[in-house]
Amino acid sequence: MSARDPHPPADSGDDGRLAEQARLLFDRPAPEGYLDDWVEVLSRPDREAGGESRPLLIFRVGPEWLALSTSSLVVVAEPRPVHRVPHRSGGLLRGIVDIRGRLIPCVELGSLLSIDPSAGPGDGEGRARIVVVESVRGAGWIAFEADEVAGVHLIDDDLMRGIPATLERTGPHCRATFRWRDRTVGVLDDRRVLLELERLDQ
Amino acid sequence: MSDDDLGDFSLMELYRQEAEGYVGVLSEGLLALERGASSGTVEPLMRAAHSIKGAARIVGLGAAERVAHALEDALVAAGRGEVTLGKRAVDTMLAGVDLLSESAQIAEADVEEWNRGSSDRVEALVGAIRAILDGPPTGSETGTDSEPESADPSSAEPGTVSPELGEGAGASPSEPAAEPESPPPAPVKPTEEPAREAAPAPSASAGGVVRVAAESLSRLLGLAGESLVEVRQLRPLVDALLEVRAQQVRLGEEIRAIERREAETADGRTAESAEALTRREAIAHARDGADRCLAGLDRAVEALEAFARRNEELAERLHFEVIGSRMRPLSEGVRGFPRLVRDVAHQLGKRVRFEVVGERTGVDRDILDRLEAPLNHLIRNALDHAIEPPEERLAAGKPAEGTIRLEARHHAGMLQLTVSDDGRGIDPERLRAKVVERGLAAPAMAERLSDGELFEFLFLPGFSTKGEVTELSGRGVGLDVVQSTVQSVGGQMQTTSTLGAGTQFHIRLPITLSVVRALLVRIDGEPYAFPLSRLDRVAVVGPESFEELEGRPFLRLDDDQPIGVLPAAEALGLGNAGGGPLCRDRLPVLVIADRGQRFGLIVDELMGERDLDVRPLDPRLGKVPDLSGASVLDDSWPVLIVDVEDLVRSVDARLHGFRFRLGASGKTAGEAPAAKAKRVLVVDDSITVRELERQLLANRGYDVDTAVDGLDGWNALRQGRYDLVVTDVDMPRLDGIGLVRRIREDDRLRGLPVVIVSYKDRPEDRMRGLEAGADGYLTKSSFHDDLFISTVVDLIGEAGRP
Repeated sequence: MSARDPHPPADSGDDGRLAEQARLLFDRPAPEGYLDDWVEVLSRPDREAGGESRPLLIFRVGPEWLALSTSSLVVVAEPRPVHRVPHRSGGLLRGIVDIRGRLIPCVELGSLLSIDPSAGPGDGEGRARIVVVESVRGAGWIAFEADEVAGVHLIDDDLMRGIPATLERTGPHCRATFRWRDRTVGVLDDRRVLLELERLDQ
Repeated sequence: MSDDDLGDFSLMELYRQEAEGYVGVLSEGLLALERGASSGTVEPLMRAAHSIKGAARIVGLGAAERVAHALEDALVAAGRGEVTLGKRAVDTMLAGVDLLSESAQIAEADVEEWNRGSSDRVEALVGAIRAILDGPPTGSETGTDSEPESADPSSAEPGTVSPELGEGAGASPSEPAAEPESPPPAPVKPTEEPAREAAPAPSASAGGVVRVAAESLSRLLGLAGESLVEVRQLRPLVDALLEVRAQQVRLGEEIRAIERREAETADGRTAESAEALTRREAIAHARDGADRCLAGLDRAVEALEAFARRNEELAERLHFEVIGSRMRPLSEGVRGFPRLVRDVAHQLGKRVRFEVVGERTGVDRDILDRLEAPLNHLIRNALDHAIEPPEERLAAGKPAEGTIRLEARHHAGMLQLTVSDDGRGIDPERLRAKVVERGLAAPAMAERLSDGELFEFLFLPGFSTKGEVTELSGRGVGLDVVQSTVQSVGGQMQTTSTLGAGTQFHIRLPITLSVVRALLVRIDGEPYAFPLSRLDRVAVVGPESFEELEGRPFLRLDDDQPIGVLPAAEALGLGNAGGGPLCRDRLPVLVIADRGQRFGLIVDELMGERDLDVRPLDPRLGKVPDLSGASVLDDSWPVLIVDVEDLVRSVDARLHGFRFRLGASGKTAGEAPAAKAKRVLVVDDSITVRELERQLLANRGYDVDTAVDGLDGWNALRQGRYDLVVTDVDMPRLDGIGLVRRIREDDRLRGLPVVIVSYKDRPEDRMRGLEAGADGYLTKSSFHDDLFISTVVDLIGEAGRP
C-alpha cells in the first residue's frame, strides 16, 4: 500500500482496469451470515482489556459438569478395566488401571465431591473416558473415570463466576463456575483436588 | 523426571561403584595368588589397584590413594616375580583392600575427616605393605598353609587393621613375611606405564557392563511388556481383513455363477443379440475386477500378517532381552565368600576349602542382592557348627580339610542353590529331643516326624541346637531369618543331612523376580495370580466334598487331612461374596500353606498358567496386605499377584470370628455389635500373651482384634478403625517400636493411643518406647494386678457397650 510504483506510467490504462476488477472483488456481496458472525465476534469485549482465557478439560461425573486445568493433564484414555485392590476399598480408591504400561491408582472423583453417581444420565453414549493427571507432589500419575468427556475448550476468564455461598462454607473443591452450552460447569481447584485424591485411603 | 543416567551421580557415588568393583577383583585375585595361582593373575590386580589410586585421588581420599599406591607397587613387584606373596603378605594386603572397601562407604562430607582419622592406620598399613617388598626373608613360606595359628584373630576381622600388624611392620622387619629367595630389591619404584597402558575398567573385560538406574530398567520392562501387548492387537486386525477376503471370494463366485447362467441361456441360440453380448462383456469385466481386488487383498493381508509376525517376534525378543538384562552371573554376588571362609576358618583353627560350582549361572540382580546375607549366614553356620576341627575329622576318617560347597544351577525354570558341607551333620534324635523339650510338639507327635519335618524346626525363630551362643553364628540371628529372606524373594528352602557325613541346604528361587510363573484365577470377577511355586495344590470339587465341623466347612483331599476352606474373596477382604460360590457344582479350590497352616480358597474360575512380568504395586498404595505385585494381561486387565505367605496369615487372623455356611443360606460374618464397643488391637508374637490380653480386654467389654507381629498389626490398622493399640516390643518383621513410629508418622493414625507391654523393664527400654511415641509402657507383670486394664480405661474410657 505504500508509494511503490513498479509499473511505468504508460500502463495506466491497464492499471485502471485492474483497479476496477479489484473493486468488484472486494465489494462483492458478503456470503449469508458472514456479517452477522463478524459483528458478533467484534462486539465481544476486547481480549486485551478483558483478560486471559484458559484451556480447560470439560467432563461430566454423574450429573455434574466439571472442568480441570490442562496443566496437570497427562492423557485422556479409552475406558479399560479397573482392578479393585483388596483391603484398600471403601475409600477414594477405585483400583488400579494400566495406562501406557504403568499400573496407577484410579480414584473416584465423584465420592470426593460427594456426587451421587446414579443421578447422572448414565455412560454418555460411549464417551466415558479415563482421565489421567500428574500428581502434585510428583509421585506419579493418578487416574479417575469420567462418564463423559467433552474435550478441551478455551474459556475466557471473564465468563468465570463464583460458587454458591452454601458451598463456600463446606471447604469446596471448585473455585469458580461458568456457563457453557447451557450448563453450569464447576472449575476444580486442581491443587486441592489432587492433594486430596492422593490420600487414597480416606 | 528422575535421575536415570550416570551424569546425575555424584563423583563420590561413581567412586563407590568403581571401588566396589575393584575391591572384589583384588580380594579374589589375592586369594587366588595365595593358593599359588600363576603370576599372570597379577596383572588385573595391578590395574585394579592403579585405577582405585586414580579414582581416590579425584575424590580427595588421600588415605585410600596411598594404600592403593602401596598395593600397586607390591603387585607390580609380584608380577615381575621379584616377590612371591605368601600367606602373611596376602593378609597384609587384604587388610589394605579392606581399607579401600571402607573408603568406598565414606559420605562426601566426611572425606576430610576420614582422611585425618585413618592416617595412623594408613601409615601402618602402607609400611606393612612396603615391607613386603623389601622385608628380608623369614621362615619358610610354602604359600599353602600349615602356619599353625599364625594369624592373629584381629586380622581376620574385616574392616580393621590390627595394631600389632602395623607395629610389627614398623618395628621388626622380620614380621612381614616375604619369599625367602627374593633378592632384597632396590627400592621398588615401578613405573606406572605398564599399568596405565592397560587400565580399562574391569567391566570392559567382563564383556562390557554398564550401570542403569533400577527404576529406568523396570520402566523399560513395563514398556517392553506394553509393546508386546500392543503388537498382539494386530492379530484381530488381520482376522478382520481375512473376513473381508472371504466375502470377496463369495462375491467372485456369485459373479461367476451369473456368468455361467448367461452362457447357458446363450448356448441355445445361434445368434446373440448385441444387448446380450454387451451384458456378458460387462459381467466378465466385473469378474476380472473382483479377481484383481481379491489378489490385491491377498497381497495386503499377506504383507500385514508377515508384518504382525515380525513385530510380535521383535517385541517378544525385546521383552526377553530386557528381562535378560537384569541377569547377573552368580559370581558377582559371592565375591566376598572365599575371603569369609578363609578368615573365619583361620580364626576357628579349622581347615576349610570353599568351592563355588556354577559361578556363571544367571541370577536376577534383585535376588542376587538379597541372597548375600542368607548365604553368608549359611556358610558361617557351616564353618562354625558343621565342619569339625582337623583332628576330629582325621579321627572320623575324613580328610583334615573340610569342604563347603556353593552350587548353583538352573533347573525347571528355577534357580537351585545348594550350600553343602562335609561336616558332622545334624543328629535327628537330638533335634527331636529338643523339639519335645521346647514343647513344640508332643512326644508322641515328635516320634512320628520324618527327618525332613524335623529339620523344619531349625527354621523357627529362636530355635538353636547349639547350646551356647557363639560369636560367629549365634548372634540371635537364626536360620529363620535365612528362610524368611528366601521366602521374601519367592523361594523355598529344604534341608537334608546325614549324621557324620554333612548337611545340605537346598534353596529354590525364581530365576528372576521380574517374571513369575503363576496360576491365574478369577476372584469376585477380577483376575488374580498365585505364584505356582507357592501353591500346594489345586482341586476342582463338587459341593458334596465339603463337610462341616463346628459350623466351619472343610475339605478332605487325597492325603486325608482336613483343610479348612473359605471363599477367596472373603480371604482377600473383598467382602460380600454373597454366599454364592458354594452353590455351583464345580468349585475350584486352591490349597495354600505356610509354616504348617493350610487353607483351601474357593475361587470363581481357573484361568490357566501364565508367565507374568511382575511390577511393583504403586508405592502410594502403601504395603497392601496379601499382595506382592501386579501385572497386566493381554486384554489390558490389571492382575494382582498374591503374596501367599501373607495371605495365610491374614486368613488365620480372619478366621477368628468368621463363619460362613454352606449352601445358599448366606452367611453371618460375626455378629454386628448392637452398639459400638471400643475397639482394641492387640499385637504380640506370643500366642499366650496375645490370648491373655485379648481375654482381659474382652472381659471388660472391649472389641478385640489380634495381630501376630508389627507388620500384621500395621496392616490391620490401615484397614480398620481402632481406639487403642496394645503392642509388644520384640517381634519379627516389624517390632513394636517401629510400629509406634509408623503410627505417629501416619496422618490418619497419629492420634491413636498406643500402650507398649513388654518383658523389658529397664528404664532405657521404657524411654525408648515413650520416645517413639507410646502413651504408656507396661511390663508383662502388670497383668497380675489391674494395672493393665486400668491403664486402658484411663486412656480410652470404658468399653462403651451397653
